[in-house]
Amino acid sequence: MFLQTIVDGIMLGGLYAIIGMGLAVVFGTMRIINFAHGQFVMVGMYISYACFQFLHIDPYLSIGISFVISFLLGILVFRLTLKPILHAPEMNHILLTAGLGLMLTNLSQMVFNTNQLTVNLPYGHHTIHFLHVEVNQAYLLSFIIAGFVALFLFLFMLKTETGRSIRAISQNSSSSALMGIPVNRITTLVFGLGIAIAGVAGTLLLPVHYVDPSVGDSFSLLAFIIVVLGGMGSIFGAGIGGILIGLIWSLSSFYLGGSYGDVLTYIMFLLVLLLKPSGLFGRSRV
Amino acid sequence: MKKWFVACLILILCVLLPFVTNLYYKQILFYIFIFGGVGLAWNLVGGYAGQISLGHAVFFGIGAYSFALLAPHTGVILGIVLAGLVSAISAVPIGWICFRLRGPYFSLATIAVAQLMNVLATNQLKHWTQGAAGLLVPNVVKNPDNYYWVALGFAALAFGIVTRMATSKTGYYLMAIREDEDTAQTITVNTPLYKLYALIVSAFLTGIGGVVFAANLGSIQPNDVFGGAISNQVVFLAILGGAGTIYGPLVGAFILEFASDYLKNSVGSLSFIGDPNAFAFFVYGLLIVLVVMFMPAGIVGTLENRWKRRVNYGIARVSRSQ
Repeated sequence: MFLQTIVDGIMLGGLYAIIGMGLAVVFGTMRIINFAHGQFVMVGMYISYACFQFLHIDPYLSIGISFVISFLLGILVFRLTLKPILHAPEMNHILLTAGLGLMLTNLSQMVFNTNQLTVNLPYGHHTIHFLHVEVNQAYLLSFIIAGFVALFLFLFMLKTETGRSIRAISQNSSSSALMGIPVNRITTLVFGLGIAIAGVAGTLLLPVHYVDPSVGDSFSLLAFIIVVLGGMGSIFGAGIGGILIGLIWSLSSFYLGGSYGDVLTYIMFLLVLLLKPSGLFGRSRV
Repeated sequence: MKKWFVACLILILCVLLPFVTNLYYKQILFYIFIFGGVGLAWNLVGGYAGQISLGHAVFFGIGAYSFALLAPHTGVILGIVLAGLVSAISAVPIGWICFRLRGPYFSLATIAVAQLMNVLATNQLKHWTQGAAGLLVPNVVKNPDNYYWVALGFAALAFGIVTRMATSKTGYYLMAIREDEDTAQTITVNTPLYKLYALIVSAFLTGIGGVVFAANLGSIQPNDVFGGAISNQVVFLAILGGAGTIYGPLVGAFILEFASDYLKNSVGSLSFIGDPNAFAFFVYGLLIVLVVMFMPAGIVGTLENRWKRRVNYGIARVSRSQ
């Protein structure tokens, strides 16, 4: 049973990791704390739900759709709201994004109501047996795709010119501007990318998790826990942080009982904030 | 004395109001007093000291639950005082943990603490709190109509304490911490002590606000008092009215309560909007976004700045003409 719990935790953690990575991309580059990140994950879930319900597109095939829509939504939101106050105190960012989150939550409640919606996939209940471990097929598929998303993100950041610019900006944005990097355009793109990853995370979660308007609130806090654990701004750290949280969640839920997953996650979050606020893989705070 | 003059006028107006308005407006005013009062308490920490707590519901809930558990044994008056004290005492460990962090990390820690209490009250502490089944809260006053007076009393108490503190030396210390914590420390302000002091007073008042809120509800679930909705509402109304201003939270509460009530009632008939409650909160979020973008000092703060500028301009003109 121990092995089963570990595997469940890693599967869950892989999806959490993608949620955290989107937040880490945005935070690492422009130091914006996006309190609406979980709400964008929820938007991704609803996009895929709508595709499934009305257009009969399998959630795994709607990844592209949710990526593009979330990306455009992210750019729109950034241009309209965040860019004018980019250099304001970070408290204003927190309040603004919290307000955005409230808008998104209630907009989706106006459209979809408060019902918990799930998609019923033909292969959603199949399990694969391997060494006494059972794995849900949908979970496994989501996990594998999450791995590919992470891989693409790393390759994008490390190998492309845009990725290099993003890393340069995250190190020093005014020097990057002096070196001829179009900082404005790149930061807009990065915000779009962060939201697009959140949207994809939502799509990957949909086959294994219900969606309702309030689901975003819990994902927002979860994303922060993951990113703080991994080190604010470190994409790799967010990946590891997500898996760790998944493991903690599944182990404590199994051995201590249902609600202890949340309790231990919050306690561990507070401990990390207190003892090692730079996280496991983060650069020290300036 | 001048600063109390306007406050006394408003108080007299609020005392006279219930004799000319109906029950409906009294109910709205009740919530304005509760959340205005809690907003004032939040303002001490978030507005004056600049420590944006996004988890103030933790004190609201601790106050509410302490009252519900203690009042049957101790009686109402002592129960209210004890609930405020329990909430104030809980601020010591919470502040000790959260104030070791700064800026956004502090805000995150406060959310985590409030969420942690929410989960604990729902599950692990079920033995005391009855979890999601709900816990009965004793009445503060026999006649439900009189909750108006209780809430008004609470708002007046919060206003008195907070204004007293904010306009004293402590208030200036807190503002110094907000502007630059390191510099404040260099000029011998004991920053950890004053932050904790502000939080303890704030928690005491927030706890009592929780008592009145819960007593009016009659029975509470953890999510009613510990939930993010409470924390957010308190922060939003203070920011809307003007964080770090004396009247800001009251103005914010007044606008938000009336606006959300108006929205809920007026758009209820428009079917394409869906859930009118959700629409009200949507506009609420929009309001926050607009305020942060276009007048980050809040309504009262913006007016104050404009007024000051005009006065300065007038003085400059007078001195030039001489």
